[in-house]
Amino acid sequence: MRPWQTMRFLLQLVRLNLRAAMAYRAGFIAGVGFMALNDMMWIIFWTLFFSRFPALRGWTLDDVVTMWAVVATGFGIATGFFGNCRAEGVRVIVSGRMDYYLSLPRNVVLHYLGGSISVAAFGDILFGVLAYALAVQPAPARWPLFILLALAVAVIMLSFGLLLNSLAFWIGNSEGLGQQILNVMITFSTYPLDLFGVAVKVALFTIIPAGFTGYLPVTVLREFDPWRLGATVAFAAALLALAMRVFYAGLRRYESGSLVATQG
Amino acid sequence: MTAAALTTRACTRRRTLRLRLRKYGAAFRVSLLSQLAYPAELWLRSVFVVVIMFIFSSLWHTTFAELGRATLGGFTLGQMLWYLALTESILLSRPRDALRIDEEVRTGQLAYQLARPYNYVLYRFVTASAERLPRFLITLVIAGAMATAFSGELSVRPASLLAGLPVLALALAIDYCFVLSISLLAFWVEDASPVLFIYDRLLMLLGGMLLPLSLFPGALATVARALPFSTIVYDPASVIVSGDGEAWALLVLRQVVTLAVALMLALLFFRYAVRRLQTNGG
Repeated sequence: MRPWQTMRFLLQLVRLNLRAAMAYRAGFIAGVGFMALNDMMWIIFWTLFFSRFPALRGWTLDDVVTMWAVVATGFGIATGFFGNCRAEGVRVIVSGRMDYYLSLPRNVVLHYLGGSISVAAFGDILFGVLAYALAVQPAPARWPLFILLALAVAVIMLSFGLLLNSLAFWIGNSEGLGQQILNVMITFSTYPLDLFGVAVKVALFTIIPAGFTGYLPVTVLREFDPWRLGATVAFAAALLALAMRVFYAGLRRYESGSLVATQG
Repeated sequence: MTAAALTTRACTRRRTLRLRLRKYGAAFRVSLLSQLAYPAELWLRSVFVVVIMFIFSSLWHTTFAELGRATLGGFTLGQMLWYLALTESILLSRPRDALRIDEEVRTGQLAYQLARPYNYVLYRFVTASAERLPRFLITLVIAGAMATAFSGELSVRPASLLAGLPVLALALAIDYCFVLSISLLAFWVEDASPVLFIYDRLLMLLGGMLLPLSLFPGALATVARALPFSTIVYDPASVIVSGDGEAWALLVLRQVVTLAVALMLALLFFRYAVRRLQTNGG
């Protein structure tokens, strides 16, 4: 497929998934609202925390809100539009439902990732954008940078999820394990990296790349640094390439379940 | 009525009560065994506990070190970490029973449950408690070990932990009653899980799971202490950590009153909910 065809296919996929989710309008609004409320609760926690202890190893409330905003927006984009990068995406592989994606003349990995969406993830996006706009109140020139970094975070989250789901090609049902590792990644992404020792910091830039999704974007938004921005974007691109390579390598091991099912 | 007849009636009552208790005892045992049948799942669930304890330990370690204070909000570093271990154990151990009840109501499965020879509310309480017990213990052991390792001292006296068992049991019972009431809302609304979600968040924030209420600003602390959420999270954890006997007695009294109100609310909801039950077909 040519790039423009791929993009058109992606847009159609998103449109169809959104229409399906919007069929239950009240459920959609509730899902979005409650996730935004959930994220908001953490901001209230940090507001209370910083009202008692004004600074934490140089981190202020604005920094933590910025971190939450970037991570939530990025995670929302990744799981909102590419729902199968969540741990639930493993079920498609282990139940033999990859047949559907393999039998169509479309980009397999893109079709698989976009095969489902997470309604609650749109609450993350809503929260992220509103929190950054209302609580941090950045200069207008900061917005393109925020969007770029949120997109880079989305690519990292998506790629990391794809890598974890690809484990299922080798070890079978890895949903529980993947869910736990993804939770670790998301949790570490939302706390100041300066709280941890050197060994943990190294781990957070390698095994669990939460340093690239939480820490680096905040430092770039706090004070623009082209090297750190470049490192974040480059890491996102490299991780995506690796995840796709691993996914296709795993796909060679995939065995059809000869499952007959209808795909919504 | 003769003395012999009275004695026979008393014996029959005692036997009926024993049989009833045995029924719930069996339900507890079956639920507990089915939990223990999947130990890997129990331990895998603890990964999150380890991560959150590690992060919060680092957070409080840094905060204490930066401020150079021995206590914050009345807690030493070790007590703060044990407080966290206890609150995490209370909240993270709750089984997904509420979602099951919610689903039973929506699918009509509840009609079959009600036809069985047991009290539905009591049966649910017993099975949920059996499911919660191993989760609670495992979480507490892991979180407590991490709190001790991070602070370098055992900041809770074993006697306080032992004395804390009744307040913890009461806290879990109050929590169950609130969760049951919320689950039964499924009779009126299509899906009760959003209300449960809000309740959870209120417990985390106003209950004091994330931050002890003693660190809240004045007015908010007063409001949060007056709400029933504190009897589930903040009060039991802080009483166990401080080992304050007077506060313990007051808390037990407050918890008993809260439990009575929560139970009445749950039974009232159940009574009205069952009246709305409609069954169609077989």
